[in-house]
Amino acid sequence: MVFIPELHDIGKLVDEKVKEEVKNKIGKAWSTHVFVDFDFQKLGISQPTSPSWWGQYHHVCYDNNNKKWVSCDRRKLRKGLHTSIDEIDINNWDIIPQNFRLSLFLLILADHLASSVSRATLELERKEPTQEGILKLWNKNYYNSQKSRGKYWAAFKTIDDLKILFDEIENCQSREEFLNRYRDYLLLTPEDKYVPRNITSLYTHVELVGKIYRVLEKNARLITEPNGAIAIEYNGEKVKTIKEAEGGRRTTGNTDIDKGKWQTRLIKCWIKFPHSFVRLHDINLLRKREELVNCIASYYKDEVIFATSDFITLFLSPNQDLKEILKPLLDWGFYIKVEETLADLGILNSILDRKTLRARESNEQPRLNILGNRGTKVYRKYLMPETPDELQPHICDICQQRKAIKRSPESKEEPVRDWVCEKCDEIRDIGEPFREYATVWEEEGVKVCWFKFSLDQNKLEMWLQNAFGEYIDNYNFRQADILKDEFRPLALQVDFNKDYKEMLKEFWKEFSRVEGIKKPIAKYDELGVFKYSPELTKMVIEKFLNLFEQYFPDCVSDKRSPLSLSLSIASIKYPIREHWRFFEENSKNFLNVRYHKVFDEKYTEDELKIIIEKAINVKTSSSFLHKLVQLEERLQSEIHIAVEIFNNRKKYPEIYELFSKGIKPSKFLNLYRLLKGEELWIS
Amino acid sequence: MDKLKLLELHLEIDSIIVGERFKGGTFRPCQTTIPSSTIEGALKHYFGVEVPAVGFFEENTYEFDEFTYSVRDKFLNVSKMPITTAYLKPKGIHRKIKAKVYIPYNSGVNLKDDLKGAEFQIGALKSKGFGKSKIVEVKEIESEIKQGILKVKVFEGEAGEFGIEAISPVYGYLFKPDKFSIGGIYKRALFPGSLVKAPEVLLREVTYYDE
Repeated sequence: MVFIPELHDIGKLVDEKVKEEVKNKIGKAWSTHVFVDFDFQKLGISQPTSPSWWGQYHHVCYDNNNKKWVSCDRRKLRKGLHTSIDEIDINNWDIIPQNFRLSLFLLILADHLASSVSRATLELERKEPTQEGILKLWNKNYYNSQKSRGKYWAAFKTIDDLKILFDEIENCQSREEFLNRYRDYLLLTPEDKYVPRNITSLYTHVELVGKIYRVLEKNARLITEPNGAIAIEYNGEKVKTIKEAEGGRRTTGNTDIDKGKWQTRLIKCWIKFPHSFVRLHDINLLRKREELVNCIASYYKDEVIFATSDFITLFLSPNQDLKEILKPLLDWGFYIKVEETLADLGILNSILDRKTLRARESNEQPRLNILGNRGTKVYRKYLMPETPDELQPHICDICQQRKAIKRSPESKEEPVRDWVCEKCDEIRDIGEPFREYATVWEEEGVKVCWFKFSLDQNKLEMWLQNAFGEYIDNYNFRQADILKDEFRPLALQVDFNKDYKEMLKEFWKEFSRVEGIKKPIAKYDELGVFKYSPELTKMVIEKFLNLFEQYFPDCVSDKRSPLSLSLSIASIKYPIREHWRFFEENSKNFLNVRYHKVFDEKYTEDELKIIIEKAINVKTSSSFLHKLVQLEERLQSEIHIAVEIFNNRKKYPEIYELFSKGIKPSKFLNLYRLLKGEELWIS
Repeated sequence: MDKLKLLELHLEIDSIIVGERFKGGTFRPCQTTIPSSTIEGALKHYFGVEVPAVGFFEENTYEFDEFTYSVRDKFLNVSKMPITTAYLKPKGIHRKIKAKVYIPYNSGVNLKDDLKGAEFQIGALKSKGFGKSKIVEVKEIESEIKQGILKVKVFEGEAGEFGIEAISPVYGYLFKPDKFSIGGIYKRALFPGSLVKAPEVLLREVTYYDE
């Protein structure tokens, strides 16, 4: 039997009314969400004996007066009548058999690190009433909408269900078994029903706890000292209490800032490539990247916290070799931009890098002193494939990093021959991503629209931090600033990324039935292409708006938006690498459109909606917009267009309304052209 | 704080093509930095000296456009397939593209008077009129060495002359012609994005990472 850390919060899936039923039946229920004080005997249920059972003790306290272990009482903790297990020497954990103390110790550390809001701070706070289901900061009505479809957060709703719960603790064989069986409930249940900890799904919380636990476990061991006392050693540092391992939880002020002995690394990796897509085959590189990322994520399933096609977040101990983990990517010519934070367990989080760099830039001495005393480091690194000092011609035209081994044969379709290295040739040979493109479509000489969804992880971190701040400000927390300072957005990032992937799946579910819209790489959901037509373009944009509204209605949707859609339209002869170059630009807005040699425009969601509502979908404005388009093409004068709109403000108030809202005429005229028809374009 | 003395050349350019290294396809992209290989080649051609140099175009003074031409096969007296190349042209109110080129002070000080007001061509398709440049100003500057993100492409072997020390490099290759300009070799270079210690004028942004 193994210890399964994911089971530690299984009690959070029990409906409150079960507690009532138990109380009515035997006069006493259990406290909080763990079963430390559950009366098995009176209910005639067998107490689990598996290793996972000891995970229930992760919130236990010691009653100093009565000299016994109890469920923690917040008030008594504050008064010093109770002492949290976090502060008690592991040698004195006499309620836990010695062979399970290491597991519980690591579980508590993992649980703290995976929580988005510090438990310690909240315990000093006035509690807001509990909320039933999860509150996603980007989709606040999510739980209610699921509930209206008949779903409910609790997996265990009767006393009989408790038997199933304890059977799970006793007999569950793996994390996958537990996560798969209770997935729907775990996704609807918050990590904690109390505001403001109700923003992370229990699924992600327990998944993170499991990962962090196992990374720590691989690097920690229980040791017995000469005097018979036990200690836990990790990376050469021995500790006997949780507090000693993690240190304080704060990076400002005078309290709770002491250095922890155990440090770990949180590493963000952006997977990049120098390759240029010379031929359609070369986009196989994206397929390769997807395969390699999936391969790394499944081989290092504990270390990889989450991954998208071009981004991986890893949790590693100081001695783990990052380059070894990412070697498959380097071997294929990818290079990795790494942002690494090394810090005490007490303060490590996914935005500590940003906070540290900001403090250094503004020379914020008090914070810098604390970070310095605690040995906090933030590194930027590039991991690159081995490259020689010099290369004899010819160099590979695709990756520009290796010596070419052959020249592509000349053909009618590809009149320019290019030099290719071994690896890039191999990538070309993986297969033709989308045969129709280079044959039928190219024969037809059509215009194509490539489109790509993107999720910017930097913008996501910034938005989550702001959104959490705003959420906190809705309540009257005395320690609002501390809560904001201690916020750990990692679990939320994981949840957001899950929803992003779901949204993409949903998009393709819809469009797999639409003739003409293709996904060139089967398992890569971010990229699509179609023969340009106003109708299909409108469908894609409207579907994106619709799905964004469904999955991320409360997320920012302007230039700060983490999520974006880019469309690039050009003749089929236009190289794919130029479409890709546009997709990789940094200054994205919610929607980005580039029509080769015609226009480049960026739109916020609000602009997009109002233009569609007031200009595109309004019949009366159509003739006027048509006239404006022609005027603009003839005169190339924005002032003239403005005067024309002003003069016609009574006849076409919708257009004037757009103009008076500060939307530049070129913005709505270009969108009108794009969505209304080819006949409007100059030849 | 350490400082490094450099010659700063202010260039005005009509239109220019600094081709990307990759050649495949009938569409040729254009880059927005002036790699050491390009500017050093031009200085060698026009002034007959080999000096290390790097540069970049000033933001918002240029934009992309496209030019289509056809390579002529003189032997068969026919035109080959048309090739489209991206090029940079002045943007908006700017009548010229503005660029800055840096030369280590000690290597360039003797050239200073010759450089002032000099006109020459850099980049590709000079025969079509691209790359006409004029050095409108030559300044001696001192730039503080700071940690940051590099914004130029510089041969790794010449980085030291610019006071550039790589902390975590992004490598690429630049072509270095041989002394007869017949053949040459690709030499490893530091590319934009590299984390370095360098004169601030060569940095895209100053950073505060641990080293």
